Formats: sequence, C-alpha cells, structure tokens
Amino acid sequence: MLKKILGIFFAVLFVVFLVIYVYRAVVLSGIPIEDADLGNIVEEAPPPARPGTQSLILTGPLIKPLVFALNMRTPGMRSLDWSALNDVDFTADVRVTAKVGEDGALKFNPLDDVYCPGHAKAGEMIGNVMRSWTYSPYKTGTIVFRYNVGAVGKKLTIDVSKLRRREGVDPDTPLKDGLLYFIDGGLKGGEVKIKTW
Amino acid sequence: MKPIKGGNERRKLALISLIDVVFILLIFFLVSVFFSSLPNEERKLFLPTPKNEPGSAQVLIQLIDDESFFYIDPLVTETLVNDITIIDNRGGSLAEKRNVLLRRCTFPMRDERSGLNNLVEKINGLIDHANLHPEEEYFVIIRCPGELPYRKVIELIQLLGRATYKNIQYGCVGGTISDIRGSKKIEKRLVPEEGQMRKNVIIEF
Repeated sequence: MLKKILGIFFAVLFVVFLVIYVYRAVVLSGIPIEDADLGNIVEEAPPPARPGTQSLILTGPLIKPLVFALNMRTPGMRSLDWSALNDVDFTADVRVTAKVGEDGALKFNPLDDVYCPGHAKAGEMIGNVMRSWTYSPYKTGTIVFRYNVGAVGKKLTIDVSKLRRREGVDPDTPLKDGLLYFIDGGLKGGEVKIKTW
Repeated sequence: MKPIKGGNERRKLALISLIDVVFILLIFFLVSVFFSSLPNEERKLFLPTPKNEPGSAQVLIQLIDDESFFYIDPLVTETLVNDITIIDNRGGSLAEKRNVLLRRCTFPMRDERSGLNNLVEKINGLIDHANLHPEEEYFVIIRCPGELPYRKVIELIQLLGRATYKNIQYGCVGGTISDIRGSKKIEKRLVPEEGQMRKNVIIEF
C-alpha cells in the first residue's frame, strides 16, 4: 500500500515538474506564451539578417588635421629678435596688414601696409623680417599683426579672422592653426594673442 | 527484481526509474534558478543571434564570379569619399555614385599582363600592411554569392590567416554584386576620432 502511495506521489510530482519545465522553457525564451506555438510557420521563417547583408559601413583611414603654420623649411626665413626690437624702440607700436597668398607667402607693401607712426625704424625692422615668412598653403586672406613692444600684457596680437581655407584644400579635413610667428629673444607665449573672430 | 509469479501477482511499479527522473528534474530546476535570476540583458548573452545592423569593415571583398571580384580597402574608401563629395556638390545622382563605385572597385581575377591572381595580390598587400602595423586591427567582410563554391571563401580565409600578428579578422556573408549595383544609398560619413577624422562610406542595399 505504501509503495502504491509513493508511486502515485512521485508520478504526480513528475507530471507537475514536467508542466513547470515546459512553462519555464517558454518563459525563459522570452516569447509570449500565445506565440510559443510556432505551428507551420517555422519552415517559412526567413533567415535572420546578418551584418553586411543589408548595408555596409566601409571605414577609411584616419585623416590627420592640416596645420596652418609658418613653413620653417622656407629657405632664408628669419626670426624677429625681440630684444633687438626693444633696444631699437621700446615703445614701438607697429601694425602690419598682410595677405597670405595661394602659395602661403606673406605679401605686403612696406610703405602702405606697415603702419608705424613715430616708430619708423622698428617698422622697417619688423617689415624686413616678416617679408621672409611663408605659411603652409592651406589658408589665404588678410592677416594683421600688431606689435606693441611697450604694452603690459599682450605685446603681439595676430588677427587671423579674415583668413579662409584655400580653394582646393579638402573641406572635410580639419584645419588647425599652428605657429604663426617666428620671434626669438624674450617674447613669452602668454604675451601673444591670436584673434580668431 | 523478483520474477512475477502467476497471474494474481501484483505488478511492481518501476519506482527507481521514476525517482531518478524526478531527481534529474530537481537538479535541472536548481541550476536553472541561477539563469532565471539573471537580468534580461545578461540572459541574452547566452543566445547570440545576429543583429540586423550595418556590417562595419575596413575591407570588402565581394566575389562576383570566376572572372572578377569587387574590392574596397581604406585607400579606395578615401578616394570614394572624395568622389562622392564631388558628385554631391554638383547635385549628381545615385546612379552616378553607383557607376563610380563599380568602376573603381571591380577588378578582373587574372591580371592580363602578369597572369597573377589580382585578388591574391591585393590580399597579400593587405597582409603586408597589417604586418607592418601590428597595432592596427583590420576587419574584412567577404560576400559570396550562393552559386559560387564556398571553397573560394575558404581559400581567402586561409590567405587572411597568414597575417603574422593575427590582426586581420573576417566575417563571411552571402550576397551578390547585384546588391551593390542596385544599392539604395551610397553616402559618405565623417566621424571624428581621437582628434582626427575618419572618412567612411555607407552602402545600403
């Protein structure tokens, strides 16, 4: 009798476990119970789309940004000696309005474009040096330098707001500004202001 | 088990087997408690199914037939981006982009002059590049039409596996050149990355 009861007990337990097993299998698969029965549609189900079957993204190489800066390999390029300029005229206030050509060369007229009332000698010295400067050929337009030797704080201001990307330079490649002046002898980085707008 | 004696003897239940099954089910449920207690996101990890998303790769090899193939690598991608820019700027059509894509990237399997296998040469070039730049990872998508024997894909995989630093990975999918010929969208996408710019081309079939 006991064996019979045990038998029925384990049989019922088995059936209960079986039902729970099926239920859990359906729940764990994340499918709603009403959709769990696939019926005949299994044969009609299309193969799942895999990456590359419907669209592709082809990645190109990393493009380094271009740097608009003085081309230090230009033959005969000279630096401006700031201490010498100080010695010549420690109150010099000179403004040079120049054009950066298609080839990157800095072009200006020493008479009209170098504005230095009362500081002719300093103006001549600055103009002579700046004529030798050439930039990388990525931007063209007007660039304005203001040398205020006696100023406290910013002694050199460079206005690059009117420079534009040269035609023919890839518009998608980032273009950054690099070293825009070549000055030795005492001018500190903190004394230079680059005006971009 | 004792033999059954006569017709009046009661049949014995196979209790031992039943208990075995019940205990196995018990063990199963104990183990499955662990899985069911995981959050949904982690449970998905156990079911790796492919996602319907664009395949991203540096190199695309589309096998066409025994005579020709379609091949794009990063250098070609860069040129393609420039071509697409020009076409977009002058208001060109999708057909124009498709033509440029097919013209630039379709090659004969055999080089007429040297007799060398162009695809093998290109893959060798890729392997050389990968060997020179072990820090870079390359992913190659190989698309093969159903009518071509899969042996051709296996040969390509064997070639790609020769990269010294194993920095060339690959994925194989089915697909024909008709997908590219009839592409619905070809466009460039610029993606900034580590202060630099990456020029990508997107092709939608």
